[in-house]
Amino acid sequence: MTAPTPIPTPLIDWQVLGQVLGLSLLIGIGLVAIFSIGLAALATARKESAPTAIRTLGQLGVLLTASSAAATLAWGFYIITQKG
Amino acid sequence: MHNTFVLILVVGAALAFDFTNGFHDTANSVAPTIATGALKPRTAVAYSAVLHVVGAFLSLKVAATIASSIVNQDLVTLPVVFGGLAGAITWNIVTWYFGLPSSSSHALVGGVVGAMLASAGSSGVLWHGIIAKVFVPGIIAPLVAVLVAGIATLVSRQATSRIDEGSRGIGMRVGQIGASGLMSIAHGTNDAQKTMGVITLALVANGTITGDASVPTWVVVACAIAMAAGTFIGGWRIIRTMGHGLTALDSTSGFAAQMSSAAVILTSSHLGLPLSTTYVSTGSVIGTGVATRGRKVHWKTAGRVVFAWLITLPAAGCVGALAYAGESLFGVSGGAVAVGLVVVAIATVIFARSRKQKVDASNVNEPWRSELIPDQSSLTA
Repeated sequence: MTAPTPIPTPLIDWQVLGQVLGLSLLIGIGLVAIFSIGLAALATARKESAPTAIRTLGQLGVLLTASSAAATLAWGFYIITQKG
Repeated sequence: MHNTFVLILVVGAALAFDFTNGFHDTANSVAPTIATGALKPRTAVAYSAVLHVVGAFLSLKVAATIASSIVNQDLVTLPVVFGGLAGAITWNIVTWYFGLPSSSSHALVGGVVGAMLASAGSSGVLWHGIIAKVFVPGIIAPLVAVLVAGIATLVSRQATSRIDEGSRGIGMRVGQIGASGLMSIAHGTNDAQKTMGVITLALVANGTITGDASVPTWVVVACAIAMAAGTFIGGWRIIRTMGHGLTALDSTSGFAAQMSSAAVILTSSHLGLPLSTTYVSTGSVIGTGVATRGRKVHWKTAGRVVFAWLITLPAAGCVGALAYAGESLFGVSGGAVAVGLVVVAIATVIFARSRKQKVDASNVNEPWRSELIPDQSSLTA
Protein backbone atom coordinates (compact mmCIF):
# COMPACT_ATOMS: atom_id res chain seq x y z
CA MET A 1 0.00 0.00 0.00
CA THR A 2 1.59 3.29 -1.06
CA ALA A 3 1.53 6.43 1.05
CA PRO A 4 -0.98 9.06 -0.07
CA THR A 5 0.44 11.86 -2.18
CA PRO A 6 0.72 15.01 -0.10
CA ILE A 7 -1.32 17.94 -1.33
CA PRO A 8 1.13 20.67 -2.42
CA THR A 9 0.87 24.05 -0.76
CA PRO A 10 -0.70 26.51 -3.23
CA LEU A 11 1.54 29.25 -4.54
CA ILE A 12 -1.12 31.83 -3.79
CA ASP A 13 -3.31 31.50 -0.74
CA TRP A 14 -6.26 33.40 -2.15
CA GLN A 15 -8.12 33.34 1.14
CA VAL A 16 -5.32 35.04 3.05
CA LEU A 17 -4.74 37.39 0.15
CA GLY A 18 -8.38 38.40 0.21
CA GLN A 19 -8.21 38.95 3.95
CA VAL A 20 -5.11 41.10 3.60
CA LEU A 21 -6.72 43.20 0.90
CA GLY A 22 -10.04 43.56 2.69
CA LEU A 23 -8.63 44.28 6.12
CA SER A 24 -5.98 46.65 4.74
CA LEU A 25 -8.65 48.65 2.94
CA LEU A 26 -10.87 48.72 6.00
CA ILE A 27 -8.20 49.66 8.51
CA GLY A 28 -6.11 51.88 6.26
CA ILE A 29 -8.96 53.93 4.90
CA GLY A 30 -10.82 53.76 8.19
CA LEU A 31 -7.94 55.18 10.22
CA VAL A 32 -7.36 58.00 7.79
CA ALA A 33 -11.09 58.75 7.67
CA ILE A 34 -11.44 58.77 11.45
CA PHE A 35 -8.50 61.09 11.88
CA SER A 36 -9.67 63.42 9.13
CA ILE A 37 -13.19 63.56 10.53
CA GLY A 38 -11.68 64.29 13.92
CA LEU A 39 -9.79 67.25 12.47
CA ALA A 40 -12.99 68.52 10.92
CA ALA A 41 -14.79 68.07 14.23
CA LEU A 42 -12.04 69.94 16.05
CA ALA A 43 -12.32 72.82 13.63
CA THR A 44 -16.08 72.89 14.19
CA ALA A 45 -15.71 72.79 17.97
CA ARG A 46 -13.38 75.78 17.84
CA LYS A 47 -15.67 77.95 15.71
CA GLU A 48 -16.99 80.63 18.05
CA SER A 49 -19.62 81.65 15.53
CA ALA A 50 -21.17 78.17 15.34
CA PRO A 51 -24.29 77.30 17.40
CA THR A 52 -23.63 75.60 20.76
CA ALA A 53 -25.19 72.33 19.64
CA ILE A 54 -22.89 72.18 16.66
CA ARG A 55 -19.85 72.95 18.77
CA THR A 56 -20.85 70.26 21.25
CA LEU A 57 -21.21 67.81 18.39
CA GLY A 58 -17.78 68.81 17.27
CA GLN A 59 -16.35 68.16 20.72
CA LEU A 60 -17.98 64.73 20.78
CA GLY A 61 -16.48 64.07 17.39
CA VAL A 62 -13.04 64.97 18.69
CA LEU A 63 -13.50 62.67 21.66
CA LEU A 64 -14.61 59.81 19.45
CA THR A 65 -11.75 60.34 17.06
CA ALA A 66 -9.14 60.61 19.79
CA SER A 67 -10.45 57.39 21.37
CA SER A 68 -10.37 55.62 18.02
CA ALA A 69 -6.85 56.85 17.35
CA ALA A 70 -5.69 55.67 20.78
CA ALA A 71 -7.34 52.28 20.24
CA THR A 72 -5.64 52.03 16.87
CA LEU A 73 -2.24 52.80 18.36
CA ALA A 74 -2.87 50.16 21.01
CA TRP A 75 -3.82 47.68 18.27
CA GLY A 76 -0.65 48.58 16.37
CA PHE A 77 1.51 47.95 19.41
CA TYR A 78 -0.31 44.69 20.05
CA ILE A 79 0.36 43.49 16.50
CA ILE A 80 4.01 44.50 16.76
CA THR A 81 4.59 42.88 20.14
CA GLN A 82 2.62 39.78 19.24
CA LYS A 83 5.36 38.94 16.78
CA GLY A 84 7.97 39.35 19.50
CA MET B 1 32.66 22.89 14.27
CA HIS B 2 34.30 25.77 16.14
CA ASN B 3 35.81 28.51 14.06
CA THR B 4 35.78 31.61 16.20
CA PHE B 5 37.48 33.75 13.56
CA VAL B 6 34.85 33.00 10.93
CA LEU B 7 32.12 33.46 13.53
CA ILE B 8 33.44 36.94 14.33
CA LEU B 9 33.45 37.78 10.62
CA VAL B 10 29.89 36.54 10.20
CA VAL B 11 28.68 38.51 13.23
CA GLY B 12 30.48 41.58 11.93
CA ALA B 13 28.92 41.15 8.50
CA ALA B 14 25.47 40.70 10.04
CA LEU B 15 25.82 43.92 12.02
CA ALA B 16 27.09 45.67 8.90
CA PHE B 17 24.00 44.46 7.05
CA ASP B 18 21.86 45.69 9.93
CA PHE B 19 23.53 49.09 9.62
CA THR B 20 22.91 49.28 5.86
CA ASN B 21 19.36 48.10 6.46
CA GLY B 22 18.96 51.03 8.84
CA PHE B 23 20.00 53.78 6.44
CA HIS B 24 18.50 52.06 3.43
CA ASP B 25 15.03 51.70 4.94
CA THR B 26 14.88 54.97 6.88
CA ALA B 27 12.93 56.47 4.01
CA ASN B 28 10.05 54.07 4.55
CA SER B 29 9.39 55.61 7.95
CA VAL B 30 10.32 59.26 7.46
CA ALA B 31 10.43 60.31 3.79
CA PRO B 32 6.90 61.82 3.66
CA THR B 33 7.42 63.34 7.13
CA ILE B 34 10.51 65.16 5.89
CA ALA B 35 9.10 66.03 2.48
CA THR B 36 6.06 67.81 3.94
CA GLY B 37 8.04 69.58 6.66
CA ALA B 38 6.27 67.79 9.49
CA LEU B 39 9.69 67.27 11.02
CA LYS B 40 13.06 68.69 10.10
CA PRO B 41 15.31 66.13 8.39
CA ARG B 42 17.72 65.56 11.26
CA THR B 43 14.94 65.51 13.83
CA ALA B 44 13.01 62.97 11.80
CA VAL B 45 15.88 60.50 11.50
CA ALA B 46 16.78 60.92 15.19
CA TYR B 47 13.16 60.27 16.16
CA SER B 48 13.05 57.22 13.91
CA ALA B 49 16.39 55.93 15.22
CA VAL B 50 15.21 56.06 18.84
CA LEU B 51 12.02 54.22 17.98
CA HIS B 52 13.97 51.64 16.01
CA VAL B 53 15.84 50.83 19.22
CA VAL B 54 12.51 50.51 21.04
CA GLY B 55 11.25 48.21 18.31
CA ALA B 56 14.37 46.07 18.38
CA PHE B 57 13.96 45.47 22.11
CA LEU B 58 10.40 44.34 21.52
CA SER B 59 11.79 41.43 19.50
CA LEU B 60 11.52 38.83 22.21
CA LYS B 61 11.15 35.73 20.04
CA VAL B 62 13.92 35.19 17.55
CA ALA B 63 14.18 32.20 15.26
CA ALA B 64 17.71 31.01 14.57
CA THR B 65 17.10 30.82 10.86
CA ILE B 66 17.91 32.68 7.71
CA ALA B 67 15.63 32.74 4.69
CA SER B 68 13.51 30.00 6.20
CA SER B 69 11.09 28.47 3.67
CA ILE B 70 13.47 29.71 0.96
CA VAL B 71 16.55 27.55 1.47
CA ASN B 72 17.10 24.14 3.05
CA GLN B 73 18.03 25.03 6.63
CA ASP B 74 20.00 21.79 7.05
CA LEU B 75 22.43 22.96 4.35
CA VAL B 76 23.01 26.45 5.74
CA THR B 77 26.63 26.88 6.80
CA LEU B 78 28.62 29.87 8.03
CA PRO B 79 30.20 30.44 4.58
CA VAL B 80 26.71 30.43 3.02
CA VAL B 81 25.51 32.95 5.61
CA PHE B 82 28.56 35.14 5.06
CA GLY B 83 28.17 34.99 1.29
CA GLY B 84 24.51 35.91 1.61
CA LEU B 85 25.30 38.88 3.82
CA ALA B 86 28.00 40.06 1.42
CA GLY B 87 25.48 39.99 -1.42
CA ALA B 88 22.86 41.85 0.58
CA ILE B 89 25.25 44.53 1.84
CA THR B 90 26.62 45.18 -1.64
CA TRP B 91 23.16 45.47 -3.19
CA ASN B 92 21.98 47.77 -0.41
CA ILE B 93 24.91 50.11 -1.01
CA VAL B 94 24.49 50.11 -4.81
CA THR B 95 20.77 50.89 -4.65
CA TRP B 96 21.40 53.53 -1.98
CA TYR B 97 23.85 55.29 -4.32
CA PHE B 98 21.22 55.46 -7.05
CA GLY B 99 18.56 56.54 -4.54
CA LEU B 100 16.41 53.50 -5.27
CA PRO B 101 14.21 52.16 -2.49
CA SER B 102 14.56 48.38 -2.64
CA SER B 103 13.87 45.67 -0.12
CA SER B 104 16.75 44.87 2.22
CA SER B 105 14.99 41.66 3.20
CA HIS B 106 14.78 40.53 -0.42
CA ALA B 107 18.43 41.45 -0.86
CA LEU B 108 19.32 39.17 2.04
CA VAL B 109 17.17 36.38 0.63
CA GLY B 110 18.77 36.85 -2.78
CA GLY B 111 22.27 36.80 -1.36
CA VAL B 112 21.61 33.64 0.61
CA VAL B 113 19.95 31.94 -2.37
CA GLY B 114 22.96 32.78 -4.53
CA ALA B 115 25.40 31.51 -1.94
CA MET B 116 23.33 28.36 -1.46
CA LEU B 117 23.24 27.69 -5.22
CA ALA B 118 27.01 27.96 -5.28
CA SER B 119 27.29 25.72 -2.25
CA ALA B 120 24.70 22.99 -2.73
CA GLY B 121 23.17 23.60 -6.13
CA SER B 122 19.48 23.78 -6.89
CA SER B 123 18.59 21.18 -4.30
CA GLY B 124 19.45 23.62 -1.55
CA VAL B 125 16.86 26.13 -2.69
CA LEU B 126 13.14 25.82 -2.03
CA TRP B 127 11.85 27.33 -5.29
CA HIS B 128 8.24 27.01 -4.26
CA GLY B 129 9.03 29.14 -1.21
CA ILE B 130 10.70 31.82 -3.32
CA ILE B 131 7.60 32.18 -5.44
CA ALA B 132 5.13 31.97 -2.57
CA LYS B 133 7.08 34.03 -0.01
CA VAL B 134 8.96 36.51 -2.22
CA PHE B 135 7.56 36.97 -5.72
CA VAL B 136 3.85 36.82 -4.99
CA PRO B 137 4.01 39.13 -1.91
CA GLY B 138 6.36 41.36 -3.90
CA ILE B 139 3.72 41.91 -6.55
CA ILE B 140 0.84 42.20 -4.11
CA ALA B 141 2.46 44.68 -1.73
CA PRO B 142 2.66 47.78 -3.94
CA LEU B 143 -0.69 47.11 -5.59
CA VAL B 144 -2.52 46.87 -2.27
CA ALA B 145 -0.68 49.95 -1.02
CA VAL B 146 -1.54 52.02 -4.12
CA LEU B 147 -5.21 51.11 -3.74
CA VAL B 148 -5.42 51.76 0.01
CA ALA B 149 -3.46 55.00 -0.05
CA GLY B 150 -5.24 56.28 -3.14
CA ILE B 151 -8.69 55.86 -1.64
CA ALA B 152 -7.49 57.10 1.76
CA THR B 153 -6.20 60.28 0.13
CA LEU B 154 -9.53 60.94 -1.57
CA VAL B 155 -11.42 60.35 1.69
CA SER B 156 -9.10 62.57 3.67
CA ARG B 157 -9.28 65.47 1.23
CA GLN B 158 -13.05 65.26 1.14
CA ALA B 159 -13.43 65.05 4.93
CA THR B 160 -11.17 68.05 5.53
CA SER B 161 -12.18 70.19 2.56
CA ARG B 162 -13.86 72.80 4.75
CA ILE B 163 -10.98 73.24 7.18
CA ASP B 164 -8.61 76.10 6.60
CA GLU B 165 -5.27 75.11 5.15
CA GLY B 166 -3.29 76.08 8.23
CA SER B 167 -5.29 74.00 10.70
CA ARG B 168 -5.46 71.06 8.32
CA GLY B 169 -1.72 71.18 7.75
CA ILE B 170 -0.94 71.19 11.46
CA GLY B 171 -3.32 68.34 12.18
CA MET B 172 -2.09 66.18 9.33
CA ARG B 173 1.54 66.75 10.29
CA VAL B 174 0.79 65.57 13.81
CA GLY B 175 -0.78 62.47 12.27
CA GLN B 176 2.30 61.96 10.10
CA ILE B 177 4.59 62.05 13.13
CA GLY B 178 2.45 59.40 14.82
CA ALA B 179 2.31 57.16 11.75
CA SER B 180 6.05 57.58 11.20
CA GLY B 181 6.67 56.51 14.78
CA LEU B 182 4.54 53.40 14.40
CA MET B 183 6.36 52.44 11.21
CA SER B 184 9.74 52.97 12.86
CA ILE B 185 8.86 50.67 15.75
CA ALA B 186 7.46 48.03 13.39
CA HIS B 187 10.56 48.17 11.20
CA GLY B 188 12.85 48.01 14.22
CA THR B 189 11.03 44.92 15.45
CA ASN B 190 10.86 43.08 12.13
CA ASP B 191 14.25 43.77 10.64
CA ALA B 192 16.39 43.77 13.76
CA GLN B 193 14.76 40.42 14.54
CA LYS B 194 16.02 39.07 11.21
CA THR B 195 19.60 40.05 11.97
CA MET B 196 19.31 38.65 15.48
CA GLY B 197 18.17 35.41 13.90
CA VAL B 198 21.18 35.34 11.59
CA ILE B 199 23.64 35.94 14.42
CA THR B 200 21.92 33.40 16.64
CA LEU B 201 22.06 30.89 13.79
CA ALA B 202 25.79 31.55 13.44
CA LEU B 203 26.31 31.06 17.18
CA VAL B 204 24.37 27.79 17.13
CA ALA B 205 26.18 26.55 14.00
CA ASN B 206 29.52 27.31 15.65
CA GLY B 207 28.50 25.48 18.81
CA THR B 208 28.83 28.62 20.91
CA ILE B 209 25.26 28.30 22.16
CA THR B 210 22.79 25.45 21.99
CA GLY B 211 19.84 25.46 19.64
CA ASP B 212 17.33 26.02 22.44
CA ALA B 213 19.19 28.86 24.12
CA SER B 214 17.58 32.28 24.21
CA VAL B 215 19.10 35.10 22.22
CA PRO B 216 22.08 36.55 24.10
CA THR B 217 21.49 40.05 25.37
CA TRP B 218 24.57 41.38 23.60
CA VAL B 219 23.07 40.26 20.28
CA VAL B 220 19.88 42.24 20.93
CA VAL B 221 21.82 45.32 22.02
CA ALA B 222 24.28 45.14 19.12
CA CYS B 223 21.53 44.74 16.51
CA ALA B 224 19.48 47.54 18.02
CA ILE B 225 22.45 49.92 18.03
CA ALA B 226 23.58 48.98 14.52
CA MET B 227 20.14 49.56 13.04
CA ALA B 228 19.62 52.78 14.97
CA ALA B 229 23.02 54.09 13.87
CA GLY B 230 22.21 53.35 10.24
CA THR B 231 18.83 55.01 10.61
CA PHE B 232 20.37 58.12 12.17
CA ILE B 233 22.97 58.44 9.38
CA GLY B 234 19.94 58.76 7.15
CA GLY B 235 19.76 57.33 3.65
CA TRP B 236 19.19 60.82 2.25
CA ARG B 237 19.34 59.76 -1.38
CA ILE B 238 16.50 57.30 -0.93
CA ILE B 239 14.59 59.72 1.30
CA ARG B 240 14.78 62.26 -1.50
CA THR B 241 13.47 59.82 -4.08
CA MET B 242 10.56 58.72 -1.92
CA GLY B 243 9.76 62.19 -0.66
CA HIS B 244 10.02 64.07 -3.96
CA GLY B 245 11.01 61.78 -6.80
CA LEU B 246 7.77 59.82 -7.15
CA THR B 247 5.20 62.56 -6.66
CA ALA B 248 4.80 65.87 -4.85
CA LEU B 249 3.48 65.33 -1.35
CA ASP B 250 1.54 67.70 0.86
CA SER B 251 0.56 67.15 4.49
CA THR B 252 -2.74 65.45 3.59
CA SER B 253 -1.30 63.03 1.07
CA GLY B 254 1.76 62.48 3.25
CA PHE B 255 -0.42 61.49 6.17
CA ALA B 256 -2.59 59.26 3.99
CA ALA B 257 0.49 57.54 2.58
CA GLN B 258 2.09 56.90 5.93
CA MET B 259 -1.02 55.79 7.76
CA SER B 260 -1.97 53.51 4.85
CA SER B 261 1.53 52.00 4.87
CA ALA B 262 1.36 51.33 8.61
CA ALA B 263 -2.07 49.73 8.27
CA VAL B 264 -1.10 47.48 5.35
CA ILE B 265 2.17 46.38 6.93
CA LEU B 266 0.70 45.59 10.33
CA THR B 267 -2.41 43.93 8.91
CA SER B 268 -0.52 41.70 6.53
CA SER B 269 1.95 40.77 9.23
CA HIS B 270 -0.88 39.87 11.59
CA LEU B 271 -2.46 37.63 8.94
CA GLY B 272 0.76 35.75 8.33
CA LEU B 273 1.58 37.27 4.94
CA PRO B 274 4.26 39.85 5.76
CA LEU B 275 4.75 42.32 2.93
CA SER B 276 7.88 44.30 2.20
CA THR B 277 7.93 47.60 4.07
CA THR B 278 9.72 49.23 1.15
CA TYR B 279 7.27 48.05 -1.49
CA VAL B 280 4.28 49.08 0.61
CA SER B 281 5.71 52.52 1.45
CA THR B 282 6.62 53.21 -2.16
CA GLY B 283 3.23 52.00 -3.38
CA SER B 284 1.48 54.24 -0.86
CA VAL B 285 3.33 57.33 -2.03
CA ILE B 286 2.50 56.53 -5.66
CA GLY B 287 -1.12 55.88 -4.69
CA THR B 288 -1.49 59.35 -3.22
CA GLY B 289 -0.08 60.86 -6.39
CA VAL B 290 -2.52 58.92 -8.55
CA ALA B 291 -5.44 60.07 -6.40
CA THR B 292 -4.52 63.74 -6.26
CA ARG B 293 -5.95 65.81 -9.06
CA GLY B 294 -3.42 68.00 -10.74
CA ARG B 295 -0.49 66.20 -9.25
CA LYS B 296 1.54 63.89 -11.41
CA VAL B 297 3.41 60.74 -10.68
CA HIS B 298 6.95 60.65 -12.05
CA TRP B 299 6.51 57.35 -13.82
CA LYS B 300 10.06 57.33 -15.13
CA THR B 301 11.40 57.31 -11.59
CA ALA B 302 8.78 54.78 -10.53
CA GLY B 303 9.85 52.59 -13.41
CA ARG B 304 13.47 52.71 -12.29
CA VAL B 305 12.40 51.74 -8.79
CA VAL B 306 10.37 48.78 -10.05
CA PHE B 307 13.29 47.68 -12.21
CA ALA B 308 15.48 47.67 -9.12
CA TRP B 309 12.89 45.51 -7.37
CA LEU B 310 12.84 43.03 -10.24
CA ILE B 311 16.58 42.53 -10.23
CA THR B 312 17.15 42.60 -6.46
CA LEU B 313 17.04 38.82 -6.02
CA PRO B 314 19.23 37.89 -9.01
CA ALA B 315 21.67 40.76 -8.44
CA ALA B 316 22.18 40.06 -4.75
CA GLY B 317 22.20 36.37 -5.63
CA CYS B 318 25.05 36.84 -8.11
CA VAL B 319 27.12 38.66 -5.52
CA GLY B 320 26.25 36.04 -2.91
CA ALA B 321 27.33 33.26 -5.25
CA LEU B 322 30.57 35.06 -6.14
CA ALA B 323 31.25 35.68 -2.47
CA TYR B 324 30.78 32.01 -1.67
CA ALA B 325 33.03 31.06 -4.58
CA GLY B 326 35.64 33.47 -3.25
CA GLU B 327 35.45 31.88 0.18
CA SER B 328 35.88 28.44 -1.36
CA LEU B 329 38.90 29.64 -3.32
CA PHE B 330 40.92 30.85 -0.35
CA GLY B 331 39.61 28.56 2.37
CA VAL B 332 36.93 29.43 4.85
CA SER B 333 38.85 31.92 6.99
CA GLY B 334 41.06 33.44 4.29
CA GLY B 335 38.17 33.49 1.86
CA ALA B 336 35.89 35.31 4.26
CA VAL B 337 38.58 37.93 4.86
CA ALA B 338 39.16 38.34 1.13
CA VAL B 339 35.45 38.67 0.41
CA GLY B 340 35.05 41.09 3.29
CA LEU B 341 37.86 43.26 1.95
CA VAL B 342 36.29 43.31 -1.51
CA VAL B 343 32.93 44.40 -0.09
CA VAL B 344 34.64 47.11 1.97
CA ALA B 345 36.48 48.28 -1.14
CA ILE B 346 33.27 48.45 -3.17
CA ALA B 347 31.54 50.35 -0.38
CA THR B 348 34.46 52.78 -0.12
CA VAL B 349 34.48 53.51 -3.85
CA ILE B 350 30.72 54.03 -3.96
CA PHE B 351 30.77 56.23 -0.89
CA ALA B 352 33.61 58.34 -2.31
CA ARG B 353 31.66 58.84 -5.55
CA SER B 354 28.57 59.82 -3.61
CA ARG B 355 30.46 62.65 -1.89
CA LYS B 356 30.99 64.34 -5.24
CA GLN B 357 27.24 64.67 -5.68
CA LYS B 358 26.09 64.83 -2.13
CA VAL B 359 22.54 64.50 -0.94
CA ASP B 360 22.13 65.24 2.75
CA ALA B 361 19.87 66.90 5.29
CA SER B 362 20.60 70.33 3.81
CA ASN B 363 19.39 69.62 0.27
CA VAL B 364 17.10 66.59 0.59
CA ASN B 365 14.04 68.83 0.11
CA GLU B 366 15.35 70.76 -2.88
CA PRO B 367 12.90 70.80 -5.82
CA TRP B 368 12.96 67.63 -7.89
CA ARG B 369 13.93 68.32 -11.46
CA SER B 370 13.95 64.78 -12.87
CA GLU B 371 17.24 64.06 -11.09
CA LEU B 372 18.18 62.59 -7.75
CA ILE B 373 21.00 65.12 -7.31
CA PRO B 374 19.61 68.59 -6.62
CA ASP B 375 20.52 71.43 -8.92
CA GLN B 376 23.93 72.49 -7.59
CA SER B 377 23.37 76.13 -8.53
CA SER B 378 20.50 76.40 -6.07
CA LEU B 379 22.66 75.34 -3.15
CA THR B 380 24.26 77.91 -0.90
CA ALA B 381 27.02 75.62 0.40
